[in-house]
Amino acid sequence: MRLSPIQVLFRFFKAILMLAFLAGCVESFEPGTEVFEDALVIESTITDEMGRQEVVLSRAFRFEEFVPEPEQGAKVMVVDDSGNEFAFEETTAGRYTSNVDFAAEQGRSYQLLITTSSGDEYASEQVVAPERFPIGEISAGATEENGGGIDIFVDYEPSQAAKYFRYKYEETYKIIAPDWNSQMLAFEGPVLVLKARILDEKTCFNTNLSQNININNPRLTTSNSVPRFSVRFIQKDNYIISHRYSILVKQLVLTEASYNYFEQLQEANEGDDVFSPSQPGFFRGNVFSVNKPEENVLGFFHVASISSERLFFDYVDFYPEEALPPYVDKCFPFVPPLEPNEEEPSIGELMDANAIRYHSITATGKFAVVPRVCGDCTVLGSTEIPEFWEE
Amino acid sequence: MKSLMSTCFLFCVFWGVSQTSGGRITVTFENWTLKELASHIQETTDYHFFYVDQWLVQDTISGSFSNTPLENVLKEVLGNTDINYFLMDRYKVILTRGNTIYDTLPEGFFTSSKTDSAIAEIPEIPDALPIFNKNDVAPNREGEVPVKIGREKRDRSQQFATLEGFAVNAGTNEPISDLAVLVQRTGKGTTTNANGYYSIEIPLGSHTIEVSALGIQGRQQKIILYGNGRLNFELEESFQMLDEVVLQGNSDRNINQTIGGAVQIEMKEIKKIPLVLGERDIFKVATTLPGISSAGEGATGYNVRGGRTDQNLILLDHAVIYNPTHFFGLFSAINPFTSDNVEVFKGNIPAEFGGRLSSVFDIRTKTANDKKLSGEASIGPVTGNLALEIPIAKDKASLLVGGRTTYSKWILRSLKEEELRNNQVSFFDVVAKYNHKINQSNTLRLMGYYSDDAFNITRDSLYGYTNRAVSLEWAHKFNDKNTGELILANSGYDFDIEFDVNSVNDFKLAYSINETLLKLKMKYLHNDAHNIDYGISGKLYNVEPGSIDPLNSETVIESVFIPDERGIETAFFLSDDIAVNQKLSLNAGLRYSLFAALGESSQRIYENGSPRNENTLIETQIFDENEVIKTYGGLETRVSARYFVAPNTSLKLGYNSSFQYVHTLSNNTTVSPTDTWKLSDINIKPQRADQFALGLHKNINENAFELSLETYYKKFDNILDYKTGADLLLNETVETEVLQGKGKSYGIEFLAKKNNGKLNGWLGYTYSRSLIKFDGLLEEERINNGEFFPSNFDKPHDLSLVTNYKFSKRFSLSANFVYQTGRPVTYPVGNYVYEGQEYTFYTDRNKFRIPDYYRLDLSFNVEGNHKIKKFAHSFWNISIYNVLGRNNPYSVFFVTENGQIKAYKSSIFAIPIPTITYNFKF
Repeated sequence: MRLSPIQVLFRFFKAILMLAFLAGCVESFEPGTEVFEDALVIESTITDEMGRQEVVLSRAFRFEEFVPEPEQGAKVMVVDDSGNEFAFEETTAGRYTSNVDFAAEQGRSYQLLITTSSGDEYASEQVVAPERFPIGEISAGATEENGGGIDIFVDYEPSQAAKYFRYKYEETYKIIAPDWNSQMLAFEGPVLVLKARILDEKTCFNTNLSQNININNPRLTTSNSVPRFSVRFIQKDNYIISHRYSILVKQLVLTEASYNYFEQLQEANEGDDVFSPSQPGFFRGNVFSVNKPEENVLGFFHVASISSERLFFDYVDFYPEEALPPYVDKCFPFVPPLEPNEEEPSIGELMDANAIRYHSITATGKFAVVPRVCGDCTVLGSTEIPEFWEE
Repeated sequence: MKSLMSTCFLFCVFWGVSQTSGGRITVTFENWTLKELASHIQETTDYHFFYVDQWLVQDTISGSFSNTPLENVLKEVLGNTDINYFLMDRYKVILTRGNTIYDTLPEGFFTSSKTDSAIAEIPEIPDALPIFNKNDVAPNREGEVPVKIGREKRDRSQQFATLEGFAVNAGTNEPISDLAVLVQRTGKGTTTNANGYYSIEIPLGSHTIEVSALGIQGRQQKIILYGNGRLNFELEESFQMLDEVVLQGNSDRNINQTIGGAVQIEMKEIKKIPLVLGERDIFKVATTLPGISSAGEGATGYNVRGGRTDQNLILLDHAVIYNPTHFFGLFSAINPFTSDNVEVFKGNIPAEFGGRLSSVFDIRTKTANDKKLSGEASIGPVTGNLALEIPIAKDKASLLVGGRTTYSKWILRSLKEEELRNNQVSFFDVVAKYNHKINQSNTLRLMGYYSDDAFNITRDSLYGYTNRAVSLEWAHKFNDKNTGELILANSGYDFDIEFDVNSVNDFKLAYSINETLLKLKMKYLHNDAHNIDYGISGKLYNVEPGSIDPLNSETVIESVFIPDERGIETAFFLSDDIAVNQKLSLNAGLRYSLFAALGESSQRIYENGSPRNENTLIETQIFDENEVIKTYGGLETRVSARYFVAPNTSLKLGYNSSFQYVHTLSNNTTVSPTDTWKLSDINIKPQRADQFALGLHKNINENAFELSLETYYKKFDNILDYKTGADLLLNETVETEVLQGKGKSYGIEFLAKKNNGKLNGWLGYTYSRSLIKFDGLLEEERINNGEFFPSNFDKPHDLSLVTNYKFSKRFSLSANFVYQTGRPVTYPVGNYVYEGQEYTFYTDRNKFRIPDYYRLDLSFNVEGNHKIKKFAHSFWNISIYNVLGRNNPYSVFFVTENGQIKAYKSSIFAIPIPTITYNFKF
């Protein structure tokens, strides 16, 4: 029995207590790693979706550094319990892709084997591919909580209660440049003129991938149903839902061990409170060093069942009467000087820097411009319409 | 009157000289006090000296004697002093101060008494009969007017009578123990026992009874003893007269007491320590003493000589207090106004106590004044406190009630931030003690205690915890040699968390532990050399490890109910405090404890030698209600010895072993409010500790300075720790998360104390280490590769200086300085990226330390004027906590924010905290 909601709650209110009485007593500082310990980091989730599977290897790094070093030149292999071997090859630095397409089969167990270029051998535990549970219906709903916004929910069948799920998503949204103009400024020799716009930079699409670890272990209510789970919440004033929004929700059915691993990662992210700091320590994944059993290995070899569902909605579906969310920029038109001066750059300089777009001509005959993002959506996305897009 | 005494005296001297002519003294000494000389002679010959300490320490003397009769030695060395000596009963030497020696009797003295004089059969005793009371001279001072005791009988053969009585403290009405009762010029003397009772057989006639004890204003009382009778003393504490702060009622106790590692905290000391937020705190004082520390301010729990925080037995009138703190450890939950002195055993634990490995905090509630209503109150920035002593029946029954409550609700409400204004933090504690003296042999004491903390952080979530304790004690005196106490105590601790936001997630979680103790403790004073304690105790534990209940009809919250745990801990104990000779005393104690875990329960049995998890589960055994699941037990040895290597210098040696059958489940580096207690069962073995201690104690300058140096080595078995990231709350298979390992701690503690004078206080320094080791069969059961590593509370250097300077009767300044090595922390050794997010990773536990801790506090006391007739006596206390504003990090932690690791250090009181408190007493 785990009680993460309670613990989360408890931490939450202790944190407030701390604030109430001890405001200002928590300060950040710069730690330097006093003793750095190197470790191999394994990221891999083998799914039941037929395709090239992937294993990513990197190394731990010092505090002062910012980027992990990829683990290059390793021999990577996945073996199943019937003796099938799937070899992997390094496609980009530290990223290993299986030579053939394969999919994890429910009930079969898989093991990851790695030999690094320095000759160290690592092996994961045998991981049994979990049962398949196709993703339930995806829906969007407006809520007034958290300042108002839209929740993306996933539904469950009662049979899915007590299973372990992880959610990832890809959200794609339409962007319309609010001050797009069919005309553009151009120099003809030294003369600034208006011309018909060459590129269509009015409507774009952008796609974001989920960042956070989002896991759920749904429970059956007393009325024998499983409450839906919010996989994504978008604030009402987020410009990404201004027009049309689409989300592809991927549901991964995890093993219990994988779920626990993600839970620990999440807890590591939550931080601590003053009154009762929890005991930190190394938390072990399921990959071990073959030669040096005491070596710490980071990361986890997951085997999951994946399924996905896509949803579209428009802003007006939920807020028909309301103004659109504010755009990323306030888009105030302004008139730059024709000649450079000390205070502000000239219109020519701004054009060279690709920082503005034409807006209008003022009553005095000057060119008013807006920041580029207001007239050119390609700052935020691409004009290419995604294949899956439905209007 | 005087003449009569002189007669006695002359007889005595004659007798003494004639009998001791053989005893000769050889001694050479330089700059000794008379006391040292007396001690020396006492140790090297059969002579016994009787005196009052203060008389013999003023001057130093030098001299050399070889084979000289004692009398000559005394004549020589006492010649220039105002001390007189009397020799009697062969080897008894009584030293008195200032009494004139008469060598002639007043004229006509015998004329009226001649007819009935001298009874021949008892020649060594001067005839006392008949008694003529020449009460013509004495001015009417207290004690000068002779008290007639007993009935004069015609039967003259009786020459002796028994005088008995009680001595009580006039202020507190508590018995005064160890009070010296001397019958002047007879060489007879005794001391009062723990109940303040004394009994002495003395010749009939006129006597002056002199009583004295340190901390007590001595008195002389003239009596005329006609027969068996009773003389009670009601004595004032001497510090009221002298206006000195008395640190110890019995100031050479530290060198005399046979057991080592015991400290007494007097409530008066607490007054001297600067306050945090206006709260006087027994435990804060305790942590200024060597060997006792806490993980930091705001940390619940105390670590005694390298022991975990769950290894302290905190007793309030025999009942255990599980969580003696308010507000997550910032305040003590023990009311200082209602508490009497606190005894802390950190080394040798008397055999009557058991069940916790590291220490016993024996806190006693005051016995209320049964003569007049009195009280004490204080108003501070956070709490208000009131204690009342209510007489119910004079000399018989009294009631003490005390209560404290916080008005932080008001503070929070005045905060600007909306979010915080809705918070509620409140706590209170109440205590009551009823004392009933049924008769001279029977006393009943009933104590009740309740403390409550409630936190209402959002409007819909509530967290609260309570402590309850009730104890009933019946003290019975069977006879002069046998006394007994029968104790029935019950205590409980529970916490609740309620989350109610009208959603499917609403729940209520509850935990509770309850224990009932029945204990019979007997005392048998066999003779001067044997003081035997024995008894039996039984304790029944009931733990409700928790349940979680949904609050809504439609809910996702699964009702979880972890089955109750039950256990019974019984113990037999026997100890004898043996005075082998003047120098050597032994305290030999044995305790046999037996713990039985009782059903109803289901216990999981795992494969031997493999990690406990679902895969190694062999079977689940079901036990019926009250069926014995498993028993653990063993003999606990509590032995100590004290040896005087020189007068005022004693060496103490001790060995102590103990078992502990209840454990806290805590995955925090310090104590957390959701920590629960668990009983030993099939999978969780009891913890055990063995401690060896050696101490040197010395008092110098007539107990004005106390010095002690103690060292110890302690080893622990089966101490608990938990796997990283373990969920312990409401976990049915907690044993799969538990690691049991070894621990060792050692240290050297130095304490120097100056007890009185304008400047007083103490300096404590400890060097200690506390190491633990978890070396399981499997990797996951090992911490730091199975090597010893520092525990969370390993702070090698710990220095405390507490000073108090009295400018005048009304003004005093106290300062408190603390320095400690920073406690160990687990520091991340690197970062890594997992799926685009950055994380820190940790390896070896407690490899690093947070920066050293130091703090200076100051406080200033202003006493109200000392007019006697005033209704109330008041004082103001102005304290500044952390004057230096040192930002002492309490913990460091690492948080990933937007994919970036941020390191934070937290401290509780990073700025000077001034407080002002008003106290008054009536």
